[in-house]
Amino acid sequence: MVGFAGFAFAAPWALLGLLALPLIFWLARAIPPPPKEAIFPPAALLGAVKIDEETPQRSPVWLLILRAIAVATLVLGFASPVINPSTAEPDGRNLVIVIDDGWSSAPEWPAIIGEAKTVVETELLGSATVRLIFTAPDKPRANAEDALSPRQAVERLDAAEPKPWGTDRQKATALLAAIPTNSRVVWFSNGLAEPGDSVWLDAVSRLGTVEVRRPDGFAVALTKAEPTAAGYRAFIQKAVSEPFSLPLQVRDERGRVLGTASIALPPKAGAYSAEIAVPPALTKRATSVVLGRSDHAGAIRLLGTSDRRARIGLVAPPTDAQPLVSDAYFLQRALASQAETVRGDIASLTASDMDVIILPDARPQGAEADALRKWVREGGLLIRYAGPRFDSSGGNPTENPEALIDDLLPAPILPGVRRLDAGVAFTGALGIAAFPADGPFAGLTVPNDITVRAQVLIDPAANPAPLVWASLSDGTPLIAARGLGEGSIVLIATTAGPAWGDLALSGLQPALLGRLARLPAARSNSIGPLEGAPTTALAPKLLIDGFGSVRPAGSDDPALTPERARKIGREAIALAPGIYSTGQEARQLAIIQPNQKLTRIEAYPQNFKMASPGGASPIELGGAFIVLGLALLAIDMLVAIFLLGGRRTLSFLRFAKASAPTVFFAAMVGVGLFGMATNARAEAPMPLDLRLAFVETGDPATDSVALNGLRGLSRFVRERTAAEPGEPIGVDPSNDDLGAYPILFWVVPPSPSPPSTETIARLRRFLASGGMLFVDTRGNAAAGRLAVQGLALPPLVAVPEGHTLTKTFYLLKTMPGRRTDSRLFVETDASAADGDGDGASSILLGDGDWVSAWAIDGQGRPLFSVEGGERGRELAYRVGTNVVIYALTGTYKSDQVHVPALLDRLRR
Amino acid sequence: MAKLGTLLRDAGQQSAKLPALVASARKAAASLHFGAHGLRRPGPGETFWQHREHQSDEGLSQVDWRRSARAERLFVRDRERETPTQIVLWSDGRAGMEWRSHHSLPTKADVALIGTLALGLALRSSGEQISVLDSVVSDRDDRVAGALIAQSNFDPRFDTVCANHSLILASDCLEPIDIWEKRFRSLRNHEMPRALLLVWDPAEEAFPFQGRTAFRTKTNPNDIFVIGRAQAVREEYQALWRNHIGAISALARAHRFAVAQACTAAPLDGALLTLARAISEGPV
Repeated sequence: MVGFAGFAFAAPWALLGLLALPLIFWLARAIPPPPKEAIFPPAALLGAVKIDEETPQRSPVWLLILRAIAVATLVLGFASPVINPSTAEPDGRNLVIVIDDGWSSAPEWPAIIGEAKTVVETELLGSATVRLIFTAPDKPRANAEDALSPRQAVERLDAAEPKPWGTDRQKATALLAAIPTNSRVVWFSNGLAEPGDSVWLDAVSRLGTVEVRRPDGFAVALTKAEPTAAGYRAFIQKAVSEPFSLPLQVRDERGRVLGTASIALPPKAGAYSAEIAVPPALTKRATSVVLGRSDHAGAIRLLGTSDRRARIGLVAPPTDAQPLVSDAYFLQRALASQAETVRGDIASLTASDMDVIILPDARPQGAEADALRKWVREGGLLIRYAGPRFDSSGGNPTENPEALIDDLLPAPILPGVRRLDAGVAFTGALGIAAFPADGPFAGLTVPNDITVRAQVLIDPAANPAPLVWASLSDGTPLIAARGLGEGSIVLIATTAGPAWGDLALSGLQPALLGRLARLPAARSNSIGPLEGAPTTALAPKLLIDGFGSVRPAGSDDPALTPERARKIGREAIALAPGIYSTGQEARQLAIIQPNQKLTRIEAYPQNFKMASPGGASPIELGGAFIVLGLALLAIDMLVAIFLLGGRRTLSFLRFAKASAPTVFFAAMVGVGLFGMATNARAEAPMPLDLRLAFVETGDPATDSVALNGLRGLSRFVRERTAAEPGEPIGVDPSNDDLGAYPILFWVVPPSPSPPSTETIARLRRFLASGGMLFVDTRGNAAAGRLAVQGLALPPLVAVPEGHTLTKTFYLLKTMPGRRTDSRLFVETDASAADGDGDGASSILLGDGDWVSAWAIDGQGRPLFSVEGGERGRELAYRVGTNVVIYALTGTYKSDQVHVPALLDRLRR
Repeated sequence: MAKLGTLLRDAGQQSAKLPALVASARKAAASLHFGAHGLRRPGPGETFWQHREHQSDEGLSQVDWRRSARAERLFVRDRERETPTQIVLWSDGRAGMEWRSHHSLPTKADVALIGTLALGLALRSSGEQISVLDSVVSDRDDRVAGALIAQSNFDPRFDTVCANHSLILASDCLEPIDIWEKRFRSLRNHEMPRALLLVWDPAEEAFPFQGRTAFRTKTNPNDIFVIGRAQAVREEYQALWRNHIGAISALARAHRFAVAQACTAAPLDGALLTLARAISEGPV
């Protein structure tokens, strides 16, 4: 990048093309426009004309200028001019890039990495080394002491991802010790204060000059989401920042939005919450609560096992003798829209898996009462309605709480019925008071026209006092509740039908029942925020990655052990948020604990240089210049046609002749400069034909066996199948382009060295882009393990019966190699389906020493003996053939099993 | 020598415009009123023409005694000349003539053909016999025109022209002068009147070219004359051209041709009238 204030050329060498401008002048003179042609009978007379002016006619000056401008514009375009080039000179000092790669950096991650790469790239030409320090703890921590070349650093930056947990700069401080002073530190801060910040700032400032990019971090995270009667309540922690508002959504497992809300966050840091209403019918589908765009690990909160639609049992005879006055009739009508209702007697309802049992106007006795009690203690919700048959006379309950429990009531009931519209205590029918805000009915409005004419009275002196969820306007409790064991009992002190009031006739009754029906679901739904350490190690189930996506846990995700759990909230640990559980216990780990505060770094040391993101972004002008240049050339052609050539003599030949020199020259200059400017990498030519490739291990014996083995396999495959692999080729995965090979054979040498990170990265990329890796350990399991370590292999299983690999070309029962007991392992179908190989396993790993079995010498004679003789060798070849065809066709053969069915359907 | 195919094609094209040619030639001929009737002059014939005084060098057998008896002097009885002059026509239609500098103009070949034919028709109507060079004489206009066209493609040879035939030529005469001199040489001893219509295109005179121009002729397409700045050589060319035309005219006059110039942009009448008079005046 060469330039001056606000303007630079990305490919300044292309400006050398401007030297060609004089050449254009010379050419325009040396190759003048072709003469006009004229038939002129007396032309012979002209032979005698003395021609004074020998120089041919010059191109008009303005045309020369036009062409010069056109070519100059093209040259400038190819030099890729940039306005506001991202800064400048290599600094020369060693560069330390510190990136806070915690969860809050994720929304800005591409920008952070882009900026970091820009910083590193300015050092590309210099000799400075680059160290990358990521402050979030990592499982195998990147070796920060490594002094990298800028190019390596860029590659590592490309591979870096934000972690779904917080940063721990105090721990990262230790990494700074190895770094020489007088470095240039560029710190991409997340702006969040941490306990050890003073130590950190001190250590960083000792390294040299410190530049802080993005000092104003953005941090807002969901701490928990609680089910409420109307939906979910999301709790949010937020650091100081500008006020803003964020959408909140409840989503189902396929990402469909079930409910939305918006939360306006004031500038102050702190905890906020908002309720998201979800229609009752949809709550059972909710799987996550999402904040904003869900672009970081703190912006999504998983909900527990999904909410079943409540199953409600109604204790009533199967049919109503008198529907319009029967309680059961009104209840069933009220529940129809929101729950699955089953009628039955107590015995059958308690035996079936009911969430709620409604018992209108009855008193269970004996065995029935026992069954109900047992059912409630196990987590049931019993809703009782009063009524004429609601006989509350039973000893003196106030004195005997046990009897109360026996009575299946939340509180003792005073004997008799309080009639409000008749009798001595004539008060008239009463309305219902507003629902208390802490009850399950909070937010429901009470219609004015509802009156209750009669009720049973709950003993006001009951001890312990029941929860009162609704009262009449004079304050007498109407709905009372009490927990019993895991479950609860709710009493509604009037009738379910219209006998004692208007409740049954109003819209309030369905709403009340809807709220009540959701209580058990809400309770079973909550996998509470982590409170207290779990008693055992909990296995990760569903985790959230750094970008706020939910993924199933892999085998290498650490478990939530009690000791790790104890650290949570006090220090950053490398544990992704999500759901951890064993059979009995489940915890949801959040990125921020509700008791944690998000605070900003109040002040950076004075000598830190602040650099906010943004500024003028670079504007590339190359394309515009090239377009302008080409447009000018087009004008030049038109000029050549219409002005110089003359309209009369327009013809394409003429046109081509007229404009050819300019166009040709411009094209030459352009192509040449573009080639120079883009500095095309000299790549090895890509093989267009299929070739089997093996990883060069550096061990000559192994490589030779691999080469000969693949040669033998290629020959076999050529002879027997339609695939025609060419000469096998050895590749170095750390340098060569692997993209051209469908399958890569890796024969593990006897004493392998662990592959470099570079090799690992490229092999991973190869696998991720649909490549297949065949690892032949040759029976040396330990060496094999050492060789593939770091590849993060998915779980492997021995080739199961009926696996695609057993039928891609030959039908095979086993996978014999040089020994008949060889085993070949493939990805499980599940993990293969998740992978990038279109359902085909991207890893084949075996100990069969197939390459030796396949190996042939130059004359095509086998090199090694095989168990089972030539038949055994044939089988080994067949395995190889199946592997090659598998690599080429994927799961195509498995799809073939559907062919008969498809044909059958077509025939029909 | 042009190829036979080309000839046939050209002949086809040209015969297609024959009727138009003949019509315009007739029109031009009708407008030719060249005063004294050419043939009304003494000569060998049957009908009385005039009495004139006997010259002393004439024999006495010439004397018309009856007329002389009425006067003191001797008279000779002249008869009207009755043997018409044979007039041979040739118009130049070779490649170089098939050219015009602008599409609104006729080609030189057309002008030459029309001029020749018009002259021929006019003279025939005044009693002369016309024929086409190297062709059989015919009375029909279109046959004459066809023969003219047919012959116009060939280099003219005048050695077949009888000494007592008149000759009418129309050409641009742009061939070098020595070629024309060679052609005219066979006419040296003839005494019959002849006419030459020099046809030129206005562009040949004006040389309206500008800029770098490659000039080529139709007759010899491989000759290309590239002039860097055409406008710079205009004056010089015009001088050369005038010299050439002047030299050709002088040569023709020396061979007893009456010469008239016809610009394709101008009406033909004047030139034709001049030539018709010259022809009808008889042997010089």
